[in-house]
Amino acid sequence: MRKKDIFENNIGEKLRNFQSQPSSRVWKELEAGLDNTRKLSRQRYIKYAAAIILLLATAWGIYEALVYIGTPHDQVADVFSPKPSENVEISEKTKPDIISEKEVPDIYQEITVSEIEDTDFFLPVKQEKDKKKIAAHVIDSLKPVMHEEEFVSDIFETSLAGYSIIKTTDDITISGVELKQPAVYARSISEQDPYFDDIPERNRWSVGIKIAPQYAFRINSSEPEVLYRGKAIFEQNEKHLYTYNLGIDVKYQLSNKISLESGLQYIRMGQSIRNINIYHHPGNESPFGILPAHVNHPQSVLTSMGEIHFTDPTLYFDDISAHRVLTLEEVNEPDDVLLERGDRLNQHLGFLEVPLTIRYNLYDGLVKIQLKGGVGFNYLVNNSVVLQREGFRNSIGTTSLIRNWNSSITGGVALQVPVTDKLNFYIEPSANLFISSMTYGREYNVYPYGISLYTGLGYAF
Amino acid sequence: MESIDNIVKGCLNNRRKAQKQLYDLFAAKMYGVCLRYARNREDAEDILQEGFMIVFDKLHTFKKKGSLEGWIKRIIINTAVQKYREKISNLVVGNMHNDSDYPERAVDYDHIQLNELIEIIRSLPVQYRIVFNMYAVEGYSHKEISNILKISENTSRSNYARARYMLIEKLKNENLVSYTSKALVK
Repeated sequence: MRKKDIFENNIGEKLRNFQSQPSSRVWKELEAGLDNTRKLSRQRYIKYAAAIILLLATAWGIYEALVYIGTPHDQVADVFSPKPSENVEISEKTKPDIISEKEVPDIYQEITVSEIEDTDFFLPVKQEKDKKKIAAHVIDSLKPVMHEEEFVSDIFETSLAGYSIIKTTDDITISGVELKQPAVYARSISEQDPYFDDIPERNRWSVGIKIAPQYAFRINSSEPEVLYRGKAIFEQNEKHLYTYNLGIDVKYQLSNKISLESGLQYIRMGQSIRNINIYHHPGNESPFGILPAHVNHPQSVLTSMGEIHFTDPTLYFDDISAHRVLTLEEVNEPDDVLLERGDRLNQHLGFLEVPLTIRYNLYDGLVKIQLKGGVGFNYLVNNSVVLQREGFRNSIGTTSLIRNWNSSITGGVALQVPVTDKLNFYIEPSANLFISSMTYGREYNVYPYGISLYTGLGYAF
Repeated sequence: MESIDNIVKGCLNNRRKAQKQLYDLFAAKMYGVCLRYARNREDAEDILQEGFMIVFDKLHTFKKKGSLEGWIKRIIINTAVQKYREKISNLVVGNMHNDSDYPERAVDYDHIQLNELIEIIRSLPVQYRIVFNMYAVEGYSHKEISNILKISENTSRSNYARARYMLIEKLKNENLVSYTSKALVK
């Protein structure tokens, strides 16, 4: 310990022993904060669990995609991808004697399936209408050699990989040959088949544009022990904002079920700051217009998303709810020309995002329904604080201590409606959440999120 | 009255009654510390509350080598410094002063009222107030202060010298002290 002088010994000693009783409010809020800590701990575990589930789901999607890519599709057995546990046996290719060669020259292959209901065929058929065409072709081919009542009772599934599949669900006799049910048959379809002429090549790629109105806000997950009252003040005085997202996307269809998506989009996050009165103070106005006074404006406003610094020296601010306005040096009293009372101060933060999304087909009919989930990498490109008054929007400052790079997770549902053969219309209710705190060097951890409704057009090729 | 050990044990088990006992035991002393650092009573109560949240959260890390009071006091001071550190580092000190620029006078400190002294300390600019408290009351060296506040040692010295000068001038203006001698004390 260093040696103290007379001043320190006298004044310091007096001050060291100084005591005073705080008000009862402190313990009450401390107690509320301690309760809150327990709740937040639970919320933290839920958040971690959600993140793990999303990661596992993404990993599973990638695994499925890789498995599919590594699977050759030029053999019947591979097309079916039967799993060993399903006890599926594929017999040697034989010419079936159930249909005369003259009438139906294709080769059928019989598959004996012990339990048809458990069979999980993984067929690379993209378009429902393609299936129907091939199915119709199979029926047409079989009709001449069968009576109506003997007809194969169910068209089970078809494939574009050169085979059509039929399943019998009743005992039937075709051309004097008895077929016991249940059985599944595969029939090769040659490319010279006239029905193939109309079947388009499968479109794996698509590009699109999309736009979404967005409900934007943030999660302030500051630990209450760090700034409990500050957090409460922010929660009371900060509200959501309606913004927008727009972008372009590129999709690649890996299989019937899975497609990958990336692209580039502009997303706009932010929040609205309430209960700040704004005054006009013309004292700093120059005859040559407003000076670039961002370095010496004496005020700033604390928010959960950082500290707002102002560029317009003719404006002054007063917090009518708490103590969020900081004055760094002596300020002349405003002339009390009240411009706005309350809630017209909006923090906008614009990011360029590169998303990496996996889509999983839930339903593949006329309308496709997909689940989507993934991650995004965001770079800050716009930082502005906007004052709205009298129908005008003025950018009056920026928010400091915002990270340039962030990452986010996203999820949602997509509905795809075909407009033409190549053009599709999308509606996608989605949500995204930043997973790294947007601010740095502060006590607060703030995670912006957005709930948006994308609409867009996609062109397949 | 339960022993400190039992109270700490209760706090570690998250028992509210024990937490209240610990708070009651040290609140007045720690609030005294907060009042010296804070701009006003509301800020001081904020610091006290935030400090005790940290105390309860980190109590398991307390090693019984030092006193519990000293450990809590360090947390409270850190909380206060954290609250104002951003403001301190952002402020530019216009002129660098040394202690010698503001010579120490022989002053009669005996009759100073503590409450009035606290009010005057609170009226000091934030960077002077923090440095003054850390140096003159807590006994930190300028090197330690410069490390904690991320300012230079010279800035710390200058802030302290100015704080002390302003403090004495204010005490003098309020007629709270009298000089016992005109002589400069080096």
